[in-house]
Amino acid sequence: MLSVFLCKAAKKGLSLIGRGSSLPGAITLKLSPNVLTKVTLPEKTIAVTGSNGKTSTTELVRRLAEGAGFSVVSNSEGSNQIEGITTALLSAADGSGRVKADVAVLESDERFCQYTFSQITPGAIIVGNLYRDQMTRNGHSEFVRKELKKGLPAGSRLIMNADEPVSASLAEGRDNVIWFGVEQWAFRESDDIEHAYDDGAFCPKCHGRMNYRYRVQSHLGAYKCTKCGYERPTPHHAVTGIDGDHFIVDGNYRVKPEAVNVMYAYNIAAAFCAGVEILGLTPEKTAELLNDIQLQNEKLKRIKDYKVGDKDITFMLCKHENSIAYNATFSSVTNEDHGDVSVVVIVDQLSRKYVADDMSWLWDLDFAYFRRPNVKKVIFAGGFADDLASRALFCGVDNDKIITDSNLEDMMQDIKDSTEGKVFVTTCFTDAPKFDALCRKENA
Amino acid sequence: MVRIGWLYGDLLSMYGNYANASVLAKRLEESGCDSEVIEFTVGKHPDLSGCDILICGCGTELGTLAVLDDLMSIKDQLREMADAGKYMLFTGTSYGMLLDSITDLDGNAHEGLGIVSGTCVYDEKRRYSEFIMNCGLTSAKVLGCINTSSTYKTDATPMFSVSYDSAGIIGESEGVQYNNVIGTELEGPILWRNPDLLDSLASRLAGRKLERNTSAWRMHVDKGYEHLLAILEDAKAHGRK
Repeated sequence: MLSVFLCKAAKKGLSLIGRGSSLPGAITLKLSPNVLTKVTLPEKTIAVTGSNGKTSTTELVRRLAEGAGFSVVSNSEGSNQIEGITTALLSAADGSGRVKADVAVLESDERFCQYTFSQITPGAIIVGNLYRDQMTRNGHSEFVRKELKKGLPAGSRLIMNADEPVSASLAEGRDNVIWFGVEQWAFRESDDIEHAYDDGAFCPKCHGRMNYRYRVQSHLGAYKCTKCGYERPTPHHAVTGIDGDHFIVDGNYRVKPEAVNVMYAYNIAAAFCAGVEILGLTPEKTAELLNDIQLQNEKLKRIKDYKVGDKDITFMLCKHENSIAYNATFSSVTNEDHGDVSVVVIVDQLSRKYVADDMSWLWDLDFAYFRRPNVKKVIFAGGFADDLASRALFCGVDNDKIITDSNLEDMMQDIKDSTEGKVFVTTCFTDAPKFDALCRKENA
Repeated sequence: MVRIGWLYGDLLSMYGNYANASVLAKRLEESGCDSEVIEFTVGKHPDLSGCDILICGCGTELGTLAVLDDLMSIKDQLREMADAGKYMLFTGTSYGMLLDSITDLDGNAHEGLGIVSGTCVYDEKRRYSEFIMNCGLTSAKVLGCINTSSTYKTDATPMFSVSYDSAGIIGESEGVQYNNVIGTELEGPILWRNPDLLDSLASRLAGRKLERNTSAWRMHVDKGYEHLLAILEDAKAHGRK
């Protein structure tokens, strides 16, 4: 296959200028649009898709497979659209198009599965969840669900989140679905915060009203539609408890995650399914291999430490236009276990490419977390600082706590002068480099 | 007392539309004008006849059809309220419900409220654009965005003239206006995004011109508006998409 050599050569050359992830595949697809139909996949191919957590889950499954002694090809460091997957697969293929690996682990954007998986059929596809995510680009979760449905080939076995009703409804009419979940004994949403919206209010199938026995997070939990009876399936594998810094999986197996939080619990449960049901490992071996994995992927370094003046800063990478990510961060940093805290939220820019300035997503965030008494100062920074402040004030956050800095240099000064207690800074990857650059300048 | 009927806040809850009802109530109360928000949704149908304004927001397309099915039970009452000059603000997908029909992705036409003559047709393609618009309710420019999979056809009086449409998805005018009924695809908390529009609507409902709001909250709202206006004016001047 000429395409294989072309893609490999392009990757070699373009990697030198940092463009070796997506562009080689894009060039190859331009010349041979159906090139992936000619590829012979490894015997075990696992794709990962969904709104949140797919990069982490891909990395966990990749590390799990490698730990089990399989040779693995993955796009975990690169683009998750068809171009990136083409680069990853062809770069690992021989001249006949056979991918030289035991296992392929492929992260795929949820809206673009339909293009990639019209050409290749993964043996299994993990569908993590569908949340409100970058709605200016993606539209709403019902729209994404419709798009994702086109990208789940009948020949692929689905590994699905039993707790998330929107994506789980895609299993209708499919046999042999593997379900994962998190039991209420591990995580259960507290009642102290009234959420801004509820995507679990109505059934994604019939729009009847839903009842929940409990919720794990947002619209994830034990749901049942009062009209059509659609309900949470019983998971085959689940995080069933927490013991210190370990998850308990299936009531028996201890796995230490990088961080004990809800998203990691779902990621571990999904990876556990892949290990036991697809890779053919024992539960004991799967738990052993998943234990204490520190995610190395650069995209996943979400927590960093900085020093600003005499203040130690914990930086937490978040995602603009993704209320689940921000709410999880707000919940975490305002936890009273930290003692007194100050929180800095930067929203300066949504997109580097397009005119995209819609701030309606701020109304999906639970600013009420900042009402907690241990939150001493909240600095809203960046061009949209006033939008953040008005949203927080609307939620009843005390005006005396709030500082707004549309200028990021002013924000740095206020971090030094006005914060109290432990200091957290959070923003999206579009704005994170600005904070990073200011910290470097500060410490130069 | 201004009574605000808030329709289907739990089902049509996309893009923070719920803020339109609560921001309006806050504006009235901060000016000493009592207000009451009356929630109306599936399985909860309080009498709306005493409402001064009905506010309805944006949902998914299927969610909107489910709401329409429920709302048809009071179709005649809503038409009478519209004819009598009651205010209605239907934003995002709920705008389609004001028209004669909504056609879904399978080609099935669902009868609408018929308050304004026109049709709405759902399609598979998602479109997003940001706007600067003008309307008769305020001399300030109205800012907002549209994120849609629908096409609207109507000969009714448009609500807005379009000054800037970043992705070029709409044309020269947008929305509909009939008496005091406003239908627009603009979505999200447009009364928060556009404080002068909020003042205008609140004053009309209060029956008097409300004094300037100088609360800390409002100062941030005003600054946020100015910031976005500058961005969009700059994008317009440079022809950015």
